[in-house]
Amino acid sequence: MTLPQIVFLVMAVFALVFAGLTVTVRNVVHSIVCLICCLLFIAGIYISFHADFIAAAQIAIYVGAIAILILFATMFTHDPTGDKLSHLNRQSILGVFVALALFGSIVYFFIGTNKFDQNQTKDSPMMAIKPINFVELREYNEKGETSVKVIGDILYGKKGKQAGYAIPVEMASFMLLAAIIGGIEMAKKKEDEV
Amino acid sequence: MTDTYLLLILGAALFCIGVMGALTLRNAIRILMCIELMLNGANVTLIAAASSMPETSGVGQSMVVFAIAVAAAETVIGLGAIVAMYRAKGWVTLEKFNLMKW
Repeated sequence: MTLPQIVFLVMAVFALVFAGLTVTVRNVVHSIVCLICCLLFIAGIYISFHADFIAAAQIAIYVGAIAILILFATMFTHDPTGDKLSHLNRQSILGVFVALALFGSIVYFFIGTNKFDQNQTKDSPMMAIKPINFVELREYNEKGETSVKVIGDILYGKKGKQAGYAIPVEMASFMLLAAIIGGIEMAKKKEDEV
Repeated sequence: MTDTYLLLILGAALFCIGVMGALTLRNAIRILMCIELMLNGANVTLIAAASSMPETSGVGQSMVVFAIAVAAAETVIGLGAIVAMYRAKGWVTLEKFNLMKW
């Protein structure tokens, strides 16, 4: 077992422990802190799998924006009944069993398939599907470039070629704009309220 | 058992922890956090699939960018809805919300 594998296993175990704490601790603010730790360990796992841009986006967007937004919303919406009651609902035992059954079935199908085995990548049917702008990652890695340039080439298209996923990127930006407007509209105080 | 399998199982475990929380918790904000965990499990699975095919690894990673954008929009809408529910009712316990039930 090499050192990167040990680091990956340690980070995976910590991510799972903090994810478990996120759904089990009683205090909501403690739960958010555990969620932030879990997201940071997942970002470390992304780095160990050569997805450095995704790791940076994970830290900037999930930890920096989404978790802090959830923290603010928690502080805006203090639920006085939640202090006395349990944080679990009536169907909690059944919910745990459903989640365990789901995990068991997913792992069963992962073990049953061998499409993701690295030795068989060449023969995988997925390799036959070429994206619109097929970019050689190895070509960039030999030049010492990061995955940012690869992702940019795929999303916006290489120079002189047809644009790759430019229209979906624009649709994502419109979706975010609509989400901002909808969030402001739903959360703002109406005129007839005090 | 390669690293890709371990990463796939990690993604499945994160997703199922999120499912467990979404099924068992009462606070609406905590259920939203569990949905974030589930989306992270899906992203981990995408990264696992991307890393198993080095030549096209960038395509899988660019799909994760879209998934993160969807997660951000979903959080904004969900928190807006929760704040609106809190203004209307004064609590965020999801079991008690039956406004649109029948």
